[in-house]
Amino acid sequence: MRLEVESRVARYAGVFAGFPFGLWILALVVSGIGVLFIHSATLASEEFHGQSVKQSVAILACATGAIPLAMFSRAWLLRHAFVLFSLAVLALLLLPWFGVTINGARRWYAFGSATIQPTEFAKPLLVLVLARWLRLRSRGGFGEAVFVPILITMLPLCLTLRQPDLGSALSMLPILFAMSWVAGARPLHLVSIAVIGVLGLIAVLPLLQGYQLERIAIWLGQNDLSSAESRGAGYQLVQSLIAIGSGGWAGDGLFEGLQNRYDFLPYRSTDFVFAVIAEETGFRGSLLFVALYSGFSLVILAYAYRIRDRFGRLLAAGVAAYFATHLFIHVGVCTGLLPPTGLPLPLMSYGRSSVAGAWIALALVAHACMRRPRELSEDAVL
Amino acid sequence: MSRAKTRLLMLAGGIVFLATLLGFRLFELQVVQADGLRLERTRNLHGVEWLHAARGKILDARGRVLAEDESKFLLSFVYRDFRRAHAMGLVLHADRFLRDLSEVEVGLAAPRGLLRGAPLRYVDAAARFEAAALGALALPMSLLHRRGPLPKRLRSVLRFYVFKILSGATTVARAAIDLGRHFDEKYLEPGPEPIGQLLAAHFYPRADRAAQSLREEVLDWLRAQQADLNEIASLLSPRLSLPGSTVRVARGYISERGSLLEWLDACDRLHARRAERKYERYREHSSDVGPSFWARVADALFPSDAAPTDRAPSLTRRLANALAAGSSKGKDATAFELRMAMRFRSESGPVLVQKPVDFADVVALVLGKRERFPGFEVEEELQRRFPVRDLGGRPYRILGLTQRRELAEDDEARPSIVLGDELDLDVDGTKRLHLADDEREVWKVQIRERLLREYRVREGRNNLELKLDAVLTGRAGWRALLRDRSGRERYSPSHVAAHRGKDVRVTIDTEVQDLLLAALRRAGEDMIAERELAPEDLRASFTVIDAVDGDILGMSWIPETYRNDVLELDIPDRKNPNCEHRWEPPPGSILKPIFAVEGQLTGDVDSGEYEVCRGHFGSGWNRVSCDCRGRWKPQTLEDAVKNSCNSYFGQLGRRLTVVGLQRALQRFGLLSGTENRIHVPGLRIDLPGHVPDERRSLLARSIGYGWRTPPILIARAYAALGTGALPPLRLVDAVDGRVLVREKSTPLDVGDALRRVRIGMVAVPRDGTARRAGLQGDRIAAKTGTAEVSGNKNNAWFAGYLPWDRPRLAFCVTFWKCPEGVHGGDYPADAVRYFLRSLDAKPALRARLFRGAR
Repeated sequence: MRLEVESRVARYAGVFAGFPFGLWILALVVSGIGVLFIHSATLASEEFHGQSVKQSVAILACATGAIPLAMFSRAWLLRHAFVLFSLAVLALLLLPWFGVTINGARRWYAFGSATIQPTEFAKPLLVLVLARWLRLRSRGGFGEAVFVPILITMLPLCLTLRQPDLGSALSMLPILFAMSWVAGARPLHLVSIAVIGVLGLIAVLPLLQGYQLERIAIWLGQNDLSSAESRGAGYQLVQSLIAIGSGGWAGDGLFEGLQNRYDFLPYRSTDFVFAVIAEETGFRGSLLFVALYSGFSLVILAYAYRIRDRFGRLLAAGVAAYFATHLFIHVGVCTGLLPPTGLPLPLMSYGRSSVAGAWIALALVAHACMRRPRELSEDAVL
Repeated sequence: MSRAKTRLLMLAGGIVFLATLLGFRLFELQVVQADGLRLERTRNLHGVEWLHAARGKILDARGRVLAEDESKFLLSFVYRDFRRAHAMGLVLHADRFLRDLSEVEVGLAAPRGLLRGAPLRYVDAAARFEAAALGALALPMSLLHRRGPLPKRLRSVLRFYVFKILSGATTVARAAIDLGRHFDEKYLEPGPEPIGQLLAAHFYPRADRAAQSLREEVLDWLRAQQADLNEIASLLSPRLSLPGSTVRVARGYISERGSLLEWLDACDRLHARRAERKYERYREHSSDVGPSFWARVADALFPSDAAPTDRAPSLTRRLANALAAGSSKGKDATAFELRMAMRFRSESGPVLVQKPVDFADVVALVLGKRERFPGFEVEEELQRRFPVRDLGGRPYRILGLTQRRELAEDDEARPSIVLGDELDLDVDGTKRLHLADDEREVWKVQIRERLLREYRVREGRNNLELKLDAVLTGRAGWRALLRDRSGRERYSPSHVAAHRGKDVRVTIDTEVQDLLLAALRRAGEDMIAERELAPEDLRASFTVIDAVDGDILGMSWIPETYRNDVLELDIPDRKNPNCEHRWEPPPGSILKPIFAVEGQLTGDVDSGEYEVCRGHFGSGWNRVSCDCRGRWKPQTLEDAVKNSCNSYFGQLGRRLTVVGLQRALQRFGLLSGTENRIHVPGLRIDLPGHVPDERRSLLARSIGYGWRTPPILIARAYAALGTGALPPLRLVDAVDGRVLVREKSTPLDVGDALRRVRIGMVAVPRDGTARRAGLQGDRIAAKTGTAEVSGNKNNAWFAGYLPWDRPRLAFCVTFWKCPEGVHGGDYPADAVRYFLRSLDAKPALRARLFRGAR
């Protein structure tokens, strides 16, 4: 009897072998901080009141739902990686016909009152499919290790640009580069691709929408904006800078940020949630937060460091790049380091698609961490 | 260590590097630039609201409110809000939009307007609007479709008009809004169906009657909105100004009157003209065919005009300008769209329509504003109200007017504004706003500056409002506010309450005032009729004071209004000739009793013989003529006063000398040693501080020439003649209900000298110069005066007191610049008679005025 119980416990424990509980807890802590500041951001708003509750529910549901996702067999994942990615690309492709337009962008599918943003799902799936492609090409040439991944990335990237969603589109490039780098791409290839990419970006500047050019202009001239610019196209940037700077050393206190409470900060529960954090917690708090979130990415990298199989390592590295990129773009936009472009911060910003995408990414990391000796051979076959 | 692990470590290093970069940026913003950015936040948040202080009331002697502050409302109008929400505006502008569109090349086969014929105007018949509304419903859906011929911005404008018109139909309102929002999702392909039919088919149960039902509903809505417009027109004053049809005359504007619909058309034209002008200016300074994007960027990077300047823009600024130029000259920014944008901007400014608006009307406007009266905005303001009016239906002119004035920084009237540390405390003094010390100081400085910059007071412009300004003016208060992004007040950390001004009760009795004006008018009309004068040639003043206390009971004057030919308006005449020098001043013989008193005191009256009056006295330039009734007879002082004999008073003056004459005037308060004015609270009385006209001979001065004195002081001097004491003039009786201390009258200490003068004055209306005035039945002692002024005109005076045995009232009537032949015993004395007769008809008033008299 005793032996039977022990064997049952060992069997259940074996199911969770290698599961990164620490990462899960850390992600829940980060999410909890996010909920707190979403609550602060929406406290005074009748329209958005209740976002923190919705976000909490979404986090709990996704954190729980991500566990079985992590349990999927490696073979299944490898077999269906391109299928899943194709579904995401298809969802992006159909947006112009079936998506809804909100604030001039067509990024969402509407299901009743709820909306789904396929880009948020496409990003972790891009990590999956890139890992799937790069896992066997450690010494591949330019074509296999760099060019094909670029083509793969360009699919969701161009479709996302078309929505338009510049921030999300640009966030895919660092993921590509990080994964190619870890996969063993030659530095010269990457550098030349980067240079070509930057030149390409400059070349397409005249093709950008008027408002996008205007934002770049505002960003370039942010130190001497006219009052009309501050009230017009530069409003988001200026208000975000004011909120962050007003936080000073110690901040205004939780729920006491004046820019936040009095509605000057735009999109403060989504694209500018960091400005709320900075205003209410000051330099100390915002620095701590950046350290925490960067640390979160580094923890994922540490998992990647320990993972022995190449596919799992690439998955973890890609997810780490995914979080780090979002942190840098989100905080960079809020602080004026980068041109204004809306990008939510995974686990922190309000948005159920974003939460789901982040937890799918974490599920990929968990999947990579879990020990599956039998499946490793399968991996080699596929 | 494998290569992959090394690369992972390098990736981690990259993440740490980026995090460090973010940390430095945060340090820069939150530590280095924190003060400046907090200041920006303060500018965002804080606001100041003025709490207007009501000005004190002015009450008359019987407590009737003559002037008081009341809340009034200013009505303004934002044309854009109107035309975007009102059915007529929507239909009219949809029609206009299509017509304008047909003039530009957009590759479009769109209808040229919603109806045939001339463009729609607000003054058009209702049937035209109905036809246009039906035209909007009949527009093909392809015109609104994203795959239709219109560019996106133009399409969205047309969609706005059409779906707003559709949503006016109550039954399908929600469906129409929904259709407008999700049009592209619902209809993937453009089609030729009319948009109205599309909606009706979706909503109404009976397909065969659907289109008709929708038409009927839209038309019902249009008619209801037209009715609402008529209702608001009835609320507005008939003096509604028409900005589009004003005629500019000199420095003023004359507004033609017109209906609200005409006015709306005028507004529409006005904005169209403004937008066109703006567009033309824009065209002058820009070109559609500018340098290419890259040329602009290259120019920004390598400017050709590389002349070094002190304030050359930075490279990033130049790049920003280049990009911004690219964005504003986007490929789809056509001239038509630019015109449209300029028009929208022009329409957004509010236009003051009317002030003041009554509270009841405001309630109607505010309650129904959103749905029924879009575009009309109401703002509260304190305004002066005059509940009691004079005989002409105007506010009493002695009250004066008020005006708003912005106080300069060095103005003494500017209040000192002290902001304490309570600024960031909550109302209960507990909750802090988490303002840092430096931020609080910044806020204080800003609020103070703003308060000082915007501090305005309402001050008096003339008469009582001006003279009593210090008492009547309240102290405005203010509230420091925290406002949210939309300007709504969210929190008020600090405020200073407003203090209303003090109420002032004056000694003027409006009933007396009315009688005085009526008497003046009547006597004036007599003169105009008998002397064949033009009404505008009549100038007269009448003042009555309490002979014992010196209370000013009434002051009236003619002309009541003067004509402003430029503005073509009759403006109330407010310069009070009873107190202020206004026309040629010589009082003439009215001063003789005063000199007579002095003559007795010096003994000059009784010393030596006086020549009989031969019709003149003196010789050469030092000569006076006389046509008194006592000629060729020896006259006593009493006779000389009664007959106003120039010859007698010439001789008396020669004996008194100038010094004696001056002393006489000073004794009766008619000449000051040094000052040019007498300061009575509420009044400014002009008074010569020296003998003004040295050219006048001694004899002329003896009979009242070469002196200047206002009628009110003559009345007071006559009160002194009657009572033996010079009363202090008094206009303000009480402030905030507290009666001011009365000054005592100054005894003349002239012994028996007044007795003989009084005898002469009592005889004036009975048998003297005023014998024809019909005042024999009144116990009145008076004196006439007729002074020649330039242009063969006379100043005709009549002053006195009554009852002669125990004086209660003293008066002075003056008809200024009368035709030759008019003297004080004529119309001025008639005015007194009219006054006394009307007083007889008011026994209560008479009893009040003559209290204590026998």
